[in-house]
Amino acid sequence: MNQDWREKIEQEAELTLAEAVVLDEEIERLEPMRHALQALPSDELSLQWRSQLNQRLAAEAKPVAPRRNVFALWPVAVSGLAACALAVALFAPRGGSAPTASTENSVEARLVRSHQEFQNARDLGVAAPTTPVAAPPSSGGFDWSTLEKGS
Amino acid sequence: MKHDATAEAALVSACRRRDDAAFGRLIDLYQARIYGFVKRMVHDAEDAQDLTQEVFIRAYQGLDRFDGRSSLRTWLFRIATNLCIDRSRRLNHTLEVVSGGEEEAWDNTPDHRWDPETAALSAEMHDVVEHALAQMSDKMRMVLLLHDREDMAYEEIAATMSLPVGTVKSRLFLARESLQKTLKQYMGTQGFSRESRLARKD
Repeated sequence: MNQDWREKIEQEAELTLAEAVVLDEEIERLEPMRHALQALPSDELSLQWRSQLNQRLAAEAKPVAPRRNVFALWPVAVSGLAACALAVALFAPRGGSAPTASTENSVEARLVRSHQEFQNARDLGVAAPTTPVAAPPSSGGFDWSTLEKGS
Repeated sequence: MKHDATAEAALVSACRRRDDAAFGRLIDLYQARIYGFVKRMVHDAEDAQDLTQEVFIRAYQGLDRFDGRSSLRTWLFRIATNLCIDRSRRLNHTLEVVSGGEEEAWDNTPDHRWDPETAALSAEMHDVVEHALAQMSDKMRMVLLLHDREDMAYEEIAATMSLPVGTVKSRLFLARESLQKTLKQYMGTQGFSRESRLARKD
């Protein structure tokens, strides 16, 4: 083990193959140091420490749940939107015009037509929808002369 | 720890399904090892406990991103390593030698006067090793702990620390050499022996 080798080790420089072999041998020579470290007593933690850790972990776990629920609602929301879109496509009126009678001879169409003709006629005063009712006879009072008197 | 890849995959899979019991088993498996590693990196038991909790919180948050290319252990230690480095940067000191006088460090070591002699010597040896670890640069200590304490392979450490394998070996050599130096000093001079410590305290 020369000075150059040692400097390279201390500077963590790259070693040649031969130098690396020497390093392996030196590490092996110092193997008993491993036993000194392994003989150290293990370090125990208290139940209180563990309890605190469990509380912290429980606090960590809480925010996860709502986030998961939000994601779980995505399929429901998408299904709802799809159902709405389908309903609009099926039941929405086409063309946007006002509702009209479907055929000219339907009851609704005839009623409308009849109403319009009546309105026109009344405005022009050409045809009274009904014959005027004759005036009742003059009502001068009851004709007592016609009353048959008894013989 | 022996790694059973199938069992680990099943555990990870259960954890990803947010199985709390499975994540609890994961914590049981790794909490002591992660804590031991972090404590030796940050030199503060309370901070180490907080950071260890943070490791598992990050793991819980990132389970969906864990692709299984590395082992669960490598992934957890990578999180721990990054947190230690972040903390070090936050505290505005580099990952280098820990400050603090030797005398102060030894005065803080536990007193084993009431222990049997063997236990006292063993405990004292542990103190020596811990002290040697604390005196190392963080870069060296990290590699030494992952390799010699956690039994990680060079490649695993390289993946954990994002380093070339050669660099991992270089650091391991320097770390082991440093530890050996401290232990030799302890064995040779008996400067840290129980008797001398007691005499110094008196």
